[in-house]
Amino acid sequence: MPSERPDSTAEALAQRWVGLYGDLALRTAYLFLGDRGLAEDCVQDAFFSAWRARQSLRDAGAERSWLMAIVANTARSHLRRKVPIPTDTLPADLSSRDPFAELALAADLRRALDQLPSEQREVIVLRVYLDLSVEETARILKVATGTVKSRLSRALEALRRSWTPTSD
Amino acid sequence: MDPDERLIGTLGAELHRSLAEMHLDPAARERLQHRLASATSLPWWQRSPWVPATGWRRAAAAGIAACAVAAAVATPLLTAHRSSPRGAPQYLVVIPPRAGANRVPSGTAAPATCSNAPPRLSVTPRQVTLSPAQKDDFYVTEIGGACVPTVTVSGPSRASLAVTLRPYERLPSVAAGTSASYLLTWAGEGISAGAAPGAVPGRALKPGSYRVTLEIPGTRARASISIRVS
Repeated sequence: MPSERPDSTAEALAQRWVGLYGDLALRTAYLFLGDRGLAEDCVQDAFFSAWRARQSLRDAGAERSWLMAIVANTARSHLRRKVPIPTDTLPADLSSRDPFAELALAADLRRALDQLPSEQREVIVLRVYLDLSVEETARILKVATGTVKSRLSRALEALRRSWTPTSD
Repeated sequence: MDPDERLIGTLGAELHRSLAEMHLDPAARERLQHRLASATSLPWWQRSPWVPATGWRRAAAAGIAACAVAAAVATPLLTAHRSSPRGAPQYLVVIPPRAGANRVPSGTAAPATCSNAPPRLSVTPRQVTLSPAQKDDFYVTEIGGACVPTVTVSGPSRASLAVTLRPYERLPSVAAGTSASYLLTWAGEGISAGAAPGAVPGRALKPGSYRVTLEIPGTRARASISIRVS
């Protein structure tokens, strides 16, 4: 994997990607991983993978969903590998960790999200937060579209039981 | 409106509102931009599996996956009679305090150049694949301690793995810590290390996964990079 000196076109594109999608990628990764440091690592890894494959992106209009798919898959991969949290940042009691501590969410919604099985939370992130289509979500999760719909339905049902939106 | 759609809309708005203040910090943003702009694109067969495959690439990827499964089944059977190292060899890269500073009392205190805050190390990427004579960049960010990351290589040099600071690409220090770019090189020849630094020289380093660990002496800050040599 040799490296090369940056050229101005690459610099401009890198700046555009990071500027346009960096924060969204961080927030998405955070929703998957529940840890700010791991989310930042995930964004670095995902953008790097995407950058090296950028010539495979044929439809410029699909750039956002293509990139977020890579972020989501990278985050899921990090979760599966159980990437260790650096020991110097480990809280004293892991069981008391609030994975959504950095979100300015109402306590009941935080609790409700935390109680969702990971497969349902993934669908919430992709379908609700990123507003991806059922088909895109199914492609990322490598499941049938029917599975996406049923997971979303179950997740919404659980949320409806444990969370009352203030705007309703 | 469908009740599910209404809940989706409300929940989406709530998530966006609650995450609106979460941003990549300037150092991470700069590091990412720099890293992207310096990287080459790869042919599709070398890309991450997390990049969505399209069209004929999907078929080709499926073919390659089938070959990989076959190889995964066959290789252990073919090599079962050979001895193989147990566990990945560990090599240590130590980040000492700034040159000229007081020496660190072994394992009892943070380097004199660090602030009182506990430093955290992160490394990007965490995994690198290298063939003989290949090089790759990796980036180290230290946050919290304001320690200057200067690398001293102990183990890797014995295995033809070298880690050097790239002075011309060194990133500026940030208020909360320091960042630096390093070049990892595997010569792929004259390999003499076995399973660990200090092992009996003269044996070839077998292809496989190796790990370089970075740490700041006297602190619990630690990060590692997994290197696959082939």
